[in-house]
Amino acid sequence: MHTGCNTNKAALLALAAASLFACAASQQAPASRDAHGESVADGKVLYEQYCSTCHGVKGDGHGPTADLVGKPAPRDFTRGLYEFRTTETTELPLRADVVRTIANGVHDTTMPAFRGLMSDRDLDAVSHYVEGFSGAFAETPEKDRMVVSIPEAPATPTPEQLEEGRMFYFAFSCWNCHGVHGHGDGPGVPGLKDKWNRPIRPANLTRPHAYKGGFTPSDVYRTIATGLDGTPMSSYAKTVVLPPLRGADGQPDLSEQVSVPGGTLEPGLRASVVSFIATLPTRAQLAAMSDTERDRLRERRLWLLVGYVRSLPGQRSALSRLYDWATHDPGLP
Amino acid sequence: MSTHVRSLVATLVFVAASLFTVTAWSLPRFSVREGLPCSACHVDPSGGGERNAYGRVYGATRLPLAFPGTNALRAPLTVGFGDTLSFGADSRTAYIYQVPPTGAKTSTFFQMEASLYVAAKVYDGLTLYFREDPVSTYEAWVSYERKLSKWASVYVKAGRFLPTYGLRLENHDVWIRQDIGLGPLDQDTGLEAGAYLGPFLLQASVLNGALQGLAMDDDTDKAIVARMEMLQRIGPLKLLLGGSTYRGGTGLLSTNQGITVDSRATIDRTGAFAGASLGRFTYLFEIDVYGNFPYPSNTQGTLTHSLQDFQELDVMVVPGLELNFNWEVRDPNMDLRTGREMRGMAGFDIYPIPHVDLQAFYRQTIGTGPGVVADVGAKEFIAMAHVFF
Repeated sequence: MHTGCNTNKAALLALAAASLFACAASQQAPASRDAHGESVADGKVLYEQYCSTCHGVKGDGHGPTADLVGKPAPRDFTRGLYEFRTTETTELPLRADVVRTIANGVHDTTMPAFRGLMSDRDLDAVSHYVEGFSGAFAETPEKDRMVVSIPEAPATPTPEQLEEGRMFYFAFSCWNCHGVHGHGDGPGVPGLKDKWNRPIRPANLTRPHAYKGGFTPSDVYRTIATGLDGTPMSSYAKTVVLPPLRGADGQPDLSEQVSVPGGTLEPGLRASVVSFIATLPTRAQLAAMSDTERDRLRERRLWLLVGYVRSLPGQRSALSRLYDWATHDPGLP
Repeated sequence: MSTHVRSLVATLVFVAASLFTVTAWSLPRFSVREGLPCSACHVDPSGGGERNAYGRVYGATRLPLAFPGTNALRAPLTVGFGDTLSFGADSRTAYIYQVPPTGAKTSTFFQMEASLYVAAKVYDGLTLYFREDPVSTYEAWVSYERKLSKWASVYVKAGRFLPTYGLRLENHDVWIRQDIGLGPLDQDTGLEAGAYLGPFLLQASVLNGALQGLAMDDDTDKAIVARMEMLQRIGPLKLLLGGSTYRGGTGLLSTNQGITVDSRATIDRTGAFAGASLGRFTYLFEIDVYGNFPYPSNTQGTLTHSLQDFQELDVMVVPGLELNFNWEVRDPNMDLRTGREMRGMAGFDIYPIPHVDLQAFYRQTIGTGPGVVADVGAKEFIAMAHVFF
């Protein structure tokens, strides 16, 4: 014989009432301000609601679901290393950079975009709280951080400019990690690790949504110019105006540009890159340039690189693009 | 045509029909799409019910349509008192318009679910959980989880809950739930233990085997449930493979549609399930063999073996809007040549704003033969509003 028992409805109704009370209570987050009048408490509440499950209550990237969300692992904020910045490499980001990352999410990762869920004030508050995990932010005020200016994007590159950008892609060894065709399969990929000694793969540049920093011309310019701190993607803001290496005979030394351990360029392409590097200004010519001239050269070369890199997705076959459309989760940022 | 040829054709038809299948109210599709176990988003280590902090963030950021200006609609993600006490709810209200093969058309509003959840974290790893649904029944359990390493954790759960079997679809109306005695009233009481080992989840339960909301057993015979799944990401592809079995337990059974059951019987269920997700597309599959073995002293029924198959395909058009298709097959006598019933459903699922899910589906049942019930030929239009937090 089976016997049954009834649920204690009264107790559950009491719990329901408590939930309504708690719901109301959760809407009344304290709004205390720090010495600069900023909303520390608001940011804490928001961070613990939205962010701590992955990034951890301590901001160390060890939240309860950090191991589940896969690669890349949630960022450890305590080291003050930020990938997405408008500041020079190794510099702390600006508040606007942190806000932008939280608002837009991070492409090709599980970091969602919060812009539809947080107001501008919320975004600022939680960014401020995130900065607090590293003491470096207090030590270096925002006005002391070196900002990389991002000029207005030029017109759509011509075929000649795309070819020049392609030559720079090889001359600056981008292919070493991103591969000859931009698939992220370059000879330098094995053994790549981030600052936390975790294996990391370069982006497949033929897939627009694989650009973690975004795919607009300005996004790609920013990523190349500032690098992604904490990853092997270094800043090219200075590299692009360095003179090409030359051997004892004064001719371009191509050993580093076109031949790296694990892979070399096919002979025809190698010859093209050799010829291209030979046309670039020498060390003496670069040294003779004014700062303004050098800045213009930097901007031009960066935009040429941006133009070429952004053209890579369009070089795929229609079938490949259809496959990419079908197999990309559009719910990701 | 020889018997063998007919059997082969029938089998091929069955397999072909199964391949053109698809979704509805099931949420395991999110698990497969993300390559994350159900427990990543839910308080329950087996999944389902109240969402945890990650689940709330996921639900609020990944599900809704990206309408501009939805800031004003932001709902609280943490409802409760910090980590200690949290609350959640699910309300599903359906409108069903039915055109039966014979008889009058009907339309009805139906409150499918009205669950209120309360979870209390007594200390790290120890959770008390209550779910009350006045529409159906309640759950109450306590669980203890311990993380052993980055890739391994174990849990034990004691109390009253739905047996951990199969895909664990949220929709209890599908044949792989309702038909095999895992409907909304079929919570059982007992113990469950589980281990997450890398991509594997191993679960085992000992339960009364007394379903339909009955709280106590009257004999020493217990039901044993075992379930295993592997959820693996291979680049952009996510794969789910698993199997589960429910053995024994004598007790009162559900009165299931299409299957003759006795008031007292021993039941066996064994099945396999799978899932795959690539970008916009998510596919789920489950097949079960259900056996109902009546007590010798019971003369009301006979030995019944039945087969249930469920397949689902989801296509994400844009974030917040999905097309869902599903296809179900059941065979009350395991003879694929006769008495086969199939049900197809097609519709869409839209999340206009955070915490709100609107669905509309057309569903039609077809089939004929021994054991097939009267809803064959029924055409249904179903609309549902689901509010959750």
